[in-house]
Amino acid sequence: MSEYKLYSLFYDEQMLNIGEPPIKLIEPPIQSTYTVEQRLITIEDFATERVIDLDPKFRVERNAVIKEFTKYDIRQLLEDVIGKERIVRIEPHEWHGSFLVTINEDAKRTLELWIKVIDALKAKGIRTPIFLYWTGKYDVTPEEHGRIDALALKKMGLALATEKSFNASEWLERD
Amino acid sequence: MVRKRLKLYYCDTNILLSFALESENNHAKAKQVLTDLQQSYIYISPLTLVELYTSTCRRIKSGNIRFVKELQKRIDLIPGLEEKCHYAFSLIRSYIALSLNIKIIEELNDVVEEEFLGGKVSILKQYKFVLDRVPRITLKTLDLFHIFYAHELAKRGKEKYFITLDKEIKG
Repeated sequence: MSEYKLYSLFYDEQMLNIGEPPIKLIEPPIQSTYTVEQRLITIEDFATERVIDLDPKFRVERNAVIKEFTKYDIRQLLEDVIGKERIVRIEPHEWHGSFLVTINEDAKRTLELWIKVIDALKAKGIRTPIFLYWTGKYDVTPEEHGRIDALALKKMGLALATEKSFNASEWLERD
Repeated sequence: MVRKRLKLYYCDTNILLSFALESENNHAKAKQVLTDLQQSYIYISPLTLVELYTSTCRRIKSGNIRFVKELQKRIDLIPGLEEKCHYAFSLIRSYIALSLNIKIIEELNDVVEEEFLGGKVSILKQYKFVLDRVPRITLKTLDLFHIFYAHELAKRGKEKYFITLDKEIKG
C-alpha cells in the first residue's frame, strides 16, 4: 500500500486566555505534503484511488488495472453470496472503478447482503468497490441506512465526499 | 516508571466535518491531526452533534449540497427531505464513529443565578459562562459555547487542547 510520509503535526500552539484553567489552542499545519515512494503500484492502491489523486500520471494505467479486476470472477462471487436468481444486473461504474449491482430485494435485505458481499470480496483479496441497489421497497430507516452505508464505505476504503470542494466554516454558517 | 501525562483534546465541529468529508478544503490537515491523536482522548460535545446535524440538514433542504456520484444516488433514492436529512447525518456521524475514537462530553445541566432585567433568574451554567466572557472575548455565540465545553474538559486537571480550524478563535 501507499506510504505517506508524515509531516510536522502542529505549526502553531498558543494559550487561549479564557480564565482558569487555560486551554492550549492548536491549529493544524498550513500545508500537508504527501510522498508516494517509487515502487510498483498494486491493485489495492488503485481500488482506493488515493494514489491516483496524488499522482495523475497513473490515471491511464488505472484503466488497465480495472480490466485486471474483471479477471476475478466477481459475478460468481456475487451469485454465491446473493443468489443467482436475485441478481438483475451488474454494471461497471467510473467512480473508483466500481461495480453497481441491482438485485431483486427490498432495501434492508440488500444492505445486509452488501456488507456480506464486501466481506466476501475482501476475504478473496479483491478490493474493487461494489454498490448494491434494490428493486423492492425502501423498508429501512434513514438512520440505519446511513449507518450501513458508512460501514460499507469504511470496509471498502472509500471516503465521504461532496461533488464540489467546500470550506467547513461556510458549511457550518456559525453565528 | 514515568506515567505519560494524559492529554485531552476538545475537537471543534469544523475539524470533525473536515475530517469526515474528503472534499473539504482542509481535509488533509484534519485527517492528519485526528488520526495522529488516536492515542489520546478526543472529545466533542452535544453541541457538536447539533451543529453538524442542523448545518447538514439545512444544506440538504436548500439543495445546496451534492455528494459524489454514488452517494448522491443513494440520497436521491430516499423518499422525503426529512428522511434525506436523517440519512446524511447518520452517514456522516457513523463514518466519524467508525473512523475515530471520540468521546462525548455529557451535558452539564447545572443551574446558576444571574442578574437579568432587574431581577435574578436561573440559567444554565454554560449561558453564565458565555455571558461572563462576552466583553472580553469577541467571538460568535456558538464559538463561545464550544469554548465552554473545552473549559469544562480542562477542569479535569490534565493537559488539555482545543483543536479548531476557526481563525477567529485563534485570533
